[in-house]
Amino acid sequence: MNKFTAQLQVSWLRTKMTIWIVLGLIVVSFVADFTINQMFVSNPQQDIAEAVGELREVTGNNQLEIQIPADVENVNVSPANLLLLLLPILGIALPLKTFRPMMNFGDSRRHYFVRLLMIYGFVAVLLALFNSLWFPLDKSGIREYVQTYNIIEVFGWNQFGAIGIFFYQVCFYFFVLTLFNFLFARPKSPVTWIIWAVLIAAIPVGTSIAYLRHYVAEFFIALLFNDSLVLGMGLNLGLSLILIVGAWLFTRHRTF
Amino acid sequence: MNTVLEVKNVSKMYGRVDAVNSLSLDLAEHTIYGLLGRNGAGKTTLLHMIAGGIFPDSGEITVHGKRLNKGDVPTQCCYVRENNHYPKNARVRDVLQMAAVFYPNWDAKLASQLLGIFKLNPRKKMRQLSRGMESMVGNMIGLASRAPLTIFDEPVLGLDVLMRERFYRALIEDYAEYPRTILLSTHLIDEIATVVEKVFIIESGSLLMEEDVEHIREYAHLVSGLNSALDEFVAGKKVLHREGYGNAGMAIVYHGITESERSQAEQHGLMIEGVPLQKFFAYLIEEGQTHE
Amino acid sequence: MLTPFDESRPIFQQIAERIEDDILNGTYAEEDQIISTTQFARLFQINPATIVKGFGLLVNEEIIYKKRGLGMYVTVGAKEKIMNKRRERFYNDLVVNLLDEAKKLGMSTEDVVAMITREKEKLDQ
Repeated sequence: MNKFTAQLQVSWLRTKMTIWIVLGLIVVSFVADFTINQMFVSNPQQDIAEAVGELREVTGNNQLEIQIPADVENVNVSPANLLLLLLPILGIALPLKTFRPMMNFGDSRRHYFVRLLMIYGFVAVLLALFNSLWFPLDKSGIREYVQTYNIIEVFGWNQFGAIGIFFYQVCFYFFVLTLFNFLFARPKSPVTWIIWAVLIAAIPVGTSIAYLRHYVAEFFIALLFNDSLVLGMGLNLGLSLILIVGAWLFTRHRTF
Repeated sequence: MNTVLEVKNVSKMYGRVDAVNSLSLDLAEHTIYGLLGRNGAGKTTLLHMIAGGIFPDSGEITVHGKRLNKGDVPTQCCYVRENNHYPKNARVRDVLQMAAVFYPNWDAKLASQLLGIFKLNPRKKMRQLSRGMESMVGNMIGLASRAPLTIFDEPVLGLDVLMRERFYRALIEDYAEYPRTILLSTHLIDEIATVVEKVFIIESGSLLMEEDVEHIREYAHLVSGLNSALDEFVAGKKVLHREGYGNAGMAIVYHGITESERSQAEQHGLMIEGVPLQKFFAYLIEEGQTHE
Repeated sequence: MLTPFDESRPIFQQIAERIEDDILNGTYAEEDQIISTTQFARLFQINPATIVKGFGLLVNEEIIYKKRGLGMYVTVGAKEKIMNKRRERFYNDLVVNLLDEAKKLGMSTEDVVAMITREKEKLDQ
């Protein structure tokens, strides 16, 4: 064992309960979807048409119409994507639950922080690899039984090929981890509370004012739907870097 | 002798309460020290600052010649906290393996011996241990780390007498072979009376006294007899406590007493006895309070 | 804590006395090696520095001496030295106090001697 594996073990011990619960829920929901889909072979277009028909009867409004694109069929999130719940969970749990145990072993804040980033990198690679390998399975096998979609398609990452799919995911997942890590790097600090408040206020403000909404949308398009692999990855990593610097400023003087 | 730890005018406030108030102390190498004070006297706050968990509002802390800046953690130092933070779902064995990588002088053989001495099952999970045995895991790490500066905060809390004895015996045994600087913080002085060489007594965040225990044993006396003779005897000596009953009284005197003084006092019908450390400590703190 | 020492008196003095007792009662003969600091520390859970100080007292009085790298040894003539010292203390602490106390109680020196003789006879029987 070395210091890195020690921190990895502490991280695992402190989060394994949560990880098992998440995995358990995914399995349960997947099995539920699977059985329901087996029992009722459904057709979304037909379902909607029926629903609209009923609504017309109830309301007496024959002009009522609900339009959905013709190719809608994937109604469930891929189980491999559900696993991405672990990104915010670990981004929050690791700074909250591993700082004290590591300090208790006499570890320095700097070394703890560097190893924490390594663990985030490790998690990002692991989840990206898993989803990249799962994606072909989604397309070829699973969809015959369960209607699923994978974020790889949603964000159009499949345009970059297998390697591109993997790397875009790694960068984006790392960004999500560092974002939550930044928000919980020093939970007992007023500065952190101000950042939380600003962020919570920013969501409704950013989406309700049309002028801002435009920029918010642009930002997310550049971050997630970027048509350039290099730019997309660069933006994710650049933002991660800023968040890492911020988190270090919090951690460097974090009290036990 | 080399200084291992230097605390200089360190202060720490919690809100408007002085937890530690301009406190200074030095620890030399190869010495066992006691840090004594009642609960809430500021012991743990001081130790937290030394270990770099929290930061002083003012003052300096230097460990092994290296000044601790805000956020630094001392190297070559093992701090065994009163409430340790080893993962509760870890097995004792895992905790020891993890601790081993953080202390360069770690002795795995000693660690496995101590498991036997303290009757700890390495396969048990931390949460299955009693409060006392959980702190014993910390104590084991403190001993096996062989860190040049090892700090124990209330190491025997929650342990029965037998285990307390075993801990202090193991400490003395290992220290005799591998001398280092050890700081034992406790409010139970009797337990460490023969183990420590020197004590720091703190109250309300300030240092009341810093002395060799043997010197205290030499200097602390309980003198009793007629008030007239007692008055004469204690004149010019430090008196920690005085009590009277009728014509007679007793005084706790902190002063050297020569052979001739002693026989003279006995001629005047005074009785001179030693004072157990725990009593001395109680009188000292009481006096420290009335002077506030 | 289990310790045979009186914790209200300096322990290093009691350690020195203990070694002296052991020399008087024959536990250690002259030129014998005495218990090591480490052993003593382990046995009674006493800080080694205190023991070194106690042994130092005996070294100063030339009751024991240090063989470099080997340990502490009993000096030739140590027993005699201790006995002389203790006799002097016997006189100061016991005889003088005895007579003081006798005086307070209005007893003559002859009364005291008679009491001692009587006790001695009882013991010898």
